Amino acid sequence: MTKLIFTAFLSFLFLGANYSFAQVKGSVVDKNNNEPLQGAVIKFTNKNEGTKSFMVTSGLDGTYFIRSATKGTYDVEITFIGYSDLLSIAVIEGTGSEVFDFKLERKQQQLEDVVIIGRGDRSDYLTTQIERRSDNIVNAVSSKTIEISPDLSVANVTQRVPGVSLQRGTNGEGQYAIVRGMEKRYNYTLVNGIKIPSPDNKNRYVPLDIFPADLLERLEVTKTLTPNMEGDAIGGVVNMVMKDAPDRFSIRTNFAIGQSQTFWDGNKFEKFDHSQSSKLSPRVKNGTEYLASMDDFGTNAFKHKSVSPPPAITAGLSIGGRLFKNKLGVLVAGSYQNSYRFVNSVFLKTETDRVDNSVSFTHILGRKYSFQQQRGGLHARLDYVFNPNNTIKLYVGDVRLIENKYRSQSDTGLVLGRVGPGTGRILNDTRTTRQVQNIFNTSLQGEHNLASSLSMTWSAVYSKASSNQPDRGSLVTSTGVTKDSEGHFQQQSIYMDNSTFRDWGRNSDEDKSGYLNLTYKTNLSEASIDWSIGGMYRDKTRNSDYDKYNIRPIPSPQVYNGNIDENTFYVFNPQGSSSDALNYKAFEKVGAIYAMGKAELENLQVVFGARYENTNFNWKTSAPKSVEGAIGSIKYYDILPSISLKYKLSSKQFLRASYFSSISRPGFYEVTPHTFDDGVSDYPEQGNPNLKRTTAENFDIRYEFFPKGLDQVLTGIFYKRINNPIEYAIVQRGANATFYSPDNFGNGSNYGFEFDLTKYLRVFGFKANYTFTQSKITTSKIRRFQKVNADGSTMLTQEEVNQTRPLQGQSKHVANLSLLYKNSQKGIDAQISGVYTGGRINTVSPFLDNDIWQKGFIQLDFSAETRITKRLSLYAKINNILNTPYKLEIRQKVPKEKAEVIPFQKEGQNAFVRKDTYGASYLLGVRFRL
Amino acid sequence: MKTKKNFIYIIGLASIVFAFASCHKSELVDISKPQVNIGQEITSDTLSGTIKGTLLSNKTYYFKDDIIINSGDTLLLQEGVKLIALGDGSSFAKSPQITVNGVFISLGTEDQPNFITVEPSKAVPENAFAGIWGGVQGGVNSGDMIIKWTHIEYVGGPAGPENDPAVYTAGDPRYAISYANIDGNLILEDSWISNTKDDGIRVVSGKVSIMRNTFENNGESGGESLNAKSGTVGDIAYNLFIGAATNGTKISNSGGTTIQCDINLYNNTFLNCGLRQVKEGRGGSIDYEKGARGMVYNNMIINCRYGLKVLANADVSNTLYDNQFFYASAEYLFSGFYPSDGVGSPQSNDIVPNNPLDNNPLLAGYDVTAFDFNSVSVPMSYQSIPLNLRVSNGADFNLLPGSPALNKGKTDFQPLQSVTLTGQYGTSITPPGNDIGAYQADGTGNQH
Repeated sequence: MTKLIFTAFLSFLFLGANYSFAQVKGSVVDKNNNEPLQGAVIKFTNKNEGTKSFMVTSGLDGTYFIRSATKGTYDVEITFIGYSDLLSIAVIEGTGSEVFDFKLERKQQQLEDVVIIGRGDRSDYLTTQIERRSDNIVNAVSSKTIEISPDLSVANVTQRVPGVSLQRGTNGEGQYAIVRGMEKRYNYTLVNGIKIPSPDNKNRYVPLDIFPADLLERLEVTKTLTPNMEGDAIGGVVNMVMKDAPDRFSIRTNFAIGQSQTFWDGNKFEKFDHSQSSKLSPRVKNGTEYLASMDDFGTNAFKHKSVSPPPAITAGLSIGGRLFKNKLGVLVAGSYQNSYRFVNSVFLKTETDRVDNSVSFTHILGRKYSFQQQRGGLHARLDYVFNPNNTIKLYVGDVRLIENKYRSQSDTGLVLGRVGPGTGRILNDTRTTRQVQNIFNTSLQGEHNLASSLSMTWSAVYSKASSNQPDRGSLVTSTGVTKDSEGHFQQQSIYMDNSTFRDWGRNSDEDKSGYLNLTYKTNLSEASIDWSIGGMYRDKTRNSDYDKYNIRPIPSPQVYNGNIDENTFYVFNPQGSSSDALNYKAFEKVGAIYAMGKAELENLQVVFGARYENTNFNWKTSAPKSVEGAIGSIKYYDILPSISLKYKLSSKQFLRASYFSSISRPGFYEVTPHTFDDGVSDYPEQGNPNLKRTTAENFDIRYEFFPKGLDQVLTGIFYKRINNPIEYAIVQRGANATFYSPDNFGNGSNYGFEFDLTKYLRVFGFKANYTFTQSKITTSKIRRFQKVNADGSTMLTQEEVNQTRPLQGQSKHVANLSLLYKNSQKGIDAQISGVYTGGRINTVSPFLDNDIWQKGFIQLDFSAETRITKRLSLYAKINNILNTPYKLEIRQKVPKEKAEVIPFQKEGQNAFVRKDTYGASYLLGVRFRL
Repeated sequence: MKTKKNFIYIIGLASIVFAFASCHKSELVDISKPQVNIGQEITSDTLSGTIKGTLLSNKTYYFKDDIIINSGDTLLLQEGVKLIALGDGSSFAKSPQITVNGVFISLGTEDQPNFITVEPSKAVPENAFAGIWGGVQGGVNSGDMIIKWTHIEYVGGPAGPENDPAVYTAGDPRYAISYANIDGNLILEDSWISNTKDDGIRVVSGKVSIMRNTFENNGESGGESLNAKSGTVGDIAYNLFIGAATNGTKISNSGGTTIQCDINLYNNTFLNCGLRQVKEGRGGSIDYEKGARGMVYNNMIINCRYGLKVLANADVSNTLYDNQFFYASAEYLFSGFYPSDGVGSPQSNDIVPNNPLDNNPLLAGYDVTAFDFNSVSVPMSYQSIPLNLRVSNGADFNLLPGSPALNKGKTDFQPLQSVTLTGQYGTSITPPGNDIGAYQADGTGNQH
């Protein structure tokens, strides 16, 4: 300030002397903590000419720059949301470069007796503050970052967080987060801090692709737990903080259209008509005694039509503001996305050689998928501030994902009927699937200061997640290519096969929960300690219905000429499958209490305490009483202590250390005694009623350095000791069947190292993170071999041997690199983001050295946004620029003999198992703000 | 000083936490066990639930719901017993089965065979593939199954969750017999496995002695008469396989046991098999694949879609074969005696005709030229295959004097004799015979 006054004084002396130019630069920082402020508007107005003014915006590092300013005296006005405007005077000498730094003061608005803290909540600044100030290890992504990122769904946002990699669905869309190499089951999902149920028909974990990214205020990924958090995360917690009412009335809207590259490449979208299909299975609709006939099904589910898809659409709208003298905050937001995608896949079915345990190839499957995804979300957030001591908040949200999927599969046998390349038995399977997933969540929350040092928060929550997959149709036909006596290929007629089916799957998960927390602040001589106690109770009910109808041609054989209406069928099991174990009800009651202390010593913050969680889980299936586990209950409790320390090395450096104990509960479906061939997995699935929960002891150390502004360097190590990890593995049960089934596999460990670097120059930003993870688990595997008996005779047999491997889904190396360009003055944002996900186990084989690995891959995405007018901007997003495929392999070198006869195999390279290609997708849109 | 105090605080707090130490109470698990009811003695002619004891000679019994033989219990059918399944095959519940966790014995005789079948009004050719009931289903720890001179027919209702998922996926048609105990014995002698929706017999594993039976009309549009998997060891001899949809016998070491599937398959007659299977490369008569082994001698293969198939993934070096007799009355059947997707090839003692219709085996009461195979093409619907190509109908399959199959059998090898029980509750193994096929000029072999 002194400098400013001094220059102002000087300027009077040389007033109007001559015209010359100067470069002007400087920075804008928070007065209290000297943190740079990004996006502050700095306006220089020439006092003499009145009209001549410059307006610039502070950059990512809080600095601004004016290339040439004429000599003179300027009024300077600096404005930034949440801060008081600053008025000043600057005198520009007109030679060389001049520096003016500004310090803004945080605004405290007095509104009657209501205090609203101004929030710059859309900026990255706040999220960084959340990361820094949190008691535990948190990474956050702000809505602004999401807006200008290439990501449309929450799943894709999570992959930008250090240590998080994505598991993709068949359509190539990211679906689940793998945190620090811990599979999706080891993580849970929150909306506004409240756990939500999953619409997944099999699991607890919530598919993150349901949530449109533009409904988020910010995304937080927490990697260590404190006692006030639910204890069932070993990897981490994904918290979606939904948009909240802004301080002043605002409308934001965006609209975009797009297309997937694969359709430009000439592929057609296969569409099917679902209007004929009943939402409920004939049995659920008409009762168990009902005998279904083909009249209940119709043939539409077996039909499809090739079309050129309309463009993809993305649209969003949010309106919010504060009413009744700012006491009531309201935000309503909606989002809709409709996209089309074509996926090409080739898959080699393998088995393990009975003589030498090597991989051998039995079938080659070509698959083509057409996906339509409609994603919609609507939510409203209200808060009412009675007085500074009492606030209540209401949240209502509903998100929905409708997926129409057409799959055509051609399965050629590499053994039976194969007399050379191009020949063999062929099974064609065309499948139409429609799935509607929905999550409804509503919560009422209160925050009360009961006394000067006593505060209370409470929540009452109702949530329901459901999924309905009505009338999936799978039409199977059989043909083959042979060679005639002259060596010409001959295509056989296409016959209807017996494995055609229609099935209905429906499930819902209903949660009723309550949370209560009390905090009492104490001030000791040298430390302040906040004592908290609290608890929660959740009553969860899950319902699942399933019916499969086997459809057979009558008479048989029947030729299929492409017109299904010329074929006739009958229903082999007209009563459906009422006794299938997938018809079940499950109940889970979780009660928890905790005690926690948060102590602030001089340079040290300690959060310590323990949580008690009691789980009472039971289920009842419709399976007959002779089936083990048709009915069951499992009860247990856990005491989960935790401590986290944060030591302030200097004002910019922190050291954190933490320990926590946590668990992971098996899914409902996993414990029911079902056998289910969903046709998506390569083997039928089977439940395991004896599945135990996973428990873990977790240790973390992290060093944090915040040089200035948003720049940061974070590095840390973690170690997890995991008991009874649950892995899906191919198991052999009974004498002779192979299933994909969850099981506990002894003890495992997972440790690693994380590094995260963010650096901003005025218009450029650079974000990089890298995570190294190593996990180990030893399980028993089968080795097949030929045994030579004493008499020289041989026998094919097998033995069990131990093999140590990483946990399923864990990549050793995960790296993210983003380059950002941000020109606030011109309103241009651009970003290119790359993610490298190292090789990881996709499927655990029961056989030694036969695990199926996903190959490491790099995915590159791009996005850009440019301001057209003050309120309107144009944006573009390109996903999967490199057309990165999904590739699976078995890590065994293919010998020459096999490479010569088996498609896609190369001598001396790992065995090729699967490759899916999705193509790039493009989106172009406009965004409007009021 | 302060640092020291801080340090003391930390120690203090940490010790509070670790004083708790994490505690993960082990699960209190209450999982419903398979409900076992005590086996009840048989008191009426209507059977239901868990039973044990004897079904008396020449009596007729009925069952509407599953009947279960507990582990340790025995159900014995004396000669001349009729056991009638009441069902319609529309669902698992309406196609009752006999669940065998204990011992199942059916001792029919040549004069008084037993029948496990459906009501007479339903036992008609139109219902051949109606799959009215659920068959005899052995559990993985069952006792022995000893079945002699017994008709088992009209089986194939959809499987439910009670069935072993190793054998069936819910909704699959069930087989007349499934057997799964790798240490147990399955003895099937002089019996008839007729009119099954899918496979006749599925042996998931076990010691088998399958002698002198008639397998007829097995599989509506797919399915083998006899399907053996890894862990199955024994002899299959002197059986007549007529009109199977796919193979007469499929021998495969698929699955995962430590015991290799090893079957000596000798002196069987295969007639008109594989005509209904729509899957290319499937169907025929004899199939050895996926690590299976055994000796294959003296089999007669007549008008089957394919002959002896030994796939490259079988235990080829331990699969020995010779002395088969082949006959085909049409070119497309003739060309597949040793199918080209297999690695088998004609052996020195095989009797392979030079042309279709050459080498008529001269069966006493069955004219192998009667049906003009040239007038049709495969696959065929069962309706378009005349009944006498699918069932034996009491025809005489003995060889007439002058048959080229006479005295061409190999006799210098041994049955595996994996089943060592003999006598009334054991097996009577007929050793390899002089003549090719199931019917011997000296009157031994198949007695039907």
